[in-house]
Amino acid sequence: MIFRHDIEFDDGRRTTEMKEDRVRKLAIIPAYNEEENIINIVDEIRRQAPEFDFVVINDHSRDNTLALCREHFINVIDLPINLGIGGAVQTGYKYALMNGYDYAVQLDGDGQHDPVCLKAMLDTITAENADMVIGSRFIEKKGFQTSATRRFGIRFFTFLIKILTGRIITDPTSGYRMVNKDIIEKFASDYPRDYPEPESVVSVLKNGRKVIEIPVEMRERQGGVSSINIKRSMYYMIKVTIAMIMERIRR
Amino acid sequence: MSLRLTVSLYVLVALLLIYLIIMMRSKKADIRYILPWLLLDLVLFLAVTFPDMVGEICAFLGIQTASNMVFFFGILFLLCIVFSLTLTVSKLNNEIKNLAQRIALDKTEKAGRDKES
Repeated sequence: MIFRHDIEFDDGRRTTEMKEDRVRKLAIIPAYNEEENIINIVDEIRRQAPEFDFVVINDHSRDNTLALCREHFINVIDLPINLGIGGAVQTGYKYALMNGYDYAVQLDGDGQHDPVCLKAMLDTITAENADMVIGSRFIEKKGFQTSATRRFGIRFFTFLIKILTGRIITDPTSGYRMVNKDIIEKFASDYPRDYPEPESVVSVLKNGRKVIEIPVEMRERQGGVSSINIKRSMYYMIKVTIAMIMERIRR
Repeated sequence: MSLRLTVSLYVLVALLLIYLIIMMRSKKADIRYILPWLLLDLVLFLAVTFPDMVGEICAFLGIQTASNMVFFFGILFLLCIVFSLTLTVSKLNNEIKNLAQRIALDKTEKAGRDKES
């Protein structure tokens, strides 16, 4: 929205300027070895949601991701060491805080998150005055539903969140989430390093904040390789469960 | 085992658990590195609750006395933890070196560009 701003100086001079009361929104795109996808994702955001700023967080990729971003003049933050998804995304939140953004949304660099949903998430978060909006795969059960093993794990986390907070979150591991200024500030100072999604949801919920889920369709990873495997999954299940309980009994 | 010993050991297990939880809760320690200690606490709890099991494992492994076994596995466990910490420290050390170099190089590059303009 553009409005007139009348100014009167101390010496009596008067002037008028046009100011834009813009709601500033940032898409945080963490990327590790995503040279196959990164250009496509950025193009899609520019087309589907041009009112969103975006920043790619290059998590010390071993491939051509950084060079591609620079060639295409894509706004990229180049991490000097590999921090993992939690550290990379938190860098994005720090950037959002530094630059005064009103809303920040996390959008994975592997192509699973469709930028077409950004508008819906933004409408929801502003209309409902929510603190966090999560794009859930499992409300309408459309689109890529991930593997059976992972869905089992996700159901377990849904159950655990219900016990810890009383709230039902159907997709607690979804990285497709939008937050408001308060949560940007919170995450910028405090965000888990690995497998951060379930733990951070508990952290937001436990303070009585407003978390809303909307249905989204996710796509299968468009290219490249996922960084999860079976042994690591077991370790993460245990670690994240303990972390979620700790988060609940904190402060 | 005498009742007094059993109760003391249970108290020890409980205190250790509370201490570990406090450390995790206050974020003074990373949960990643606390996990082995939680495992140790669990094993200790099991050993106190099922003392016969300890005797059976002892016989199966051919170890003379229960206390020998406890010392042996205790030391083995601590060695594993210490060695994994050694690896972690090495990795961290290397990362810090890379960060320091990167910061210094970035500063130089920036100074060079400022000079040109």
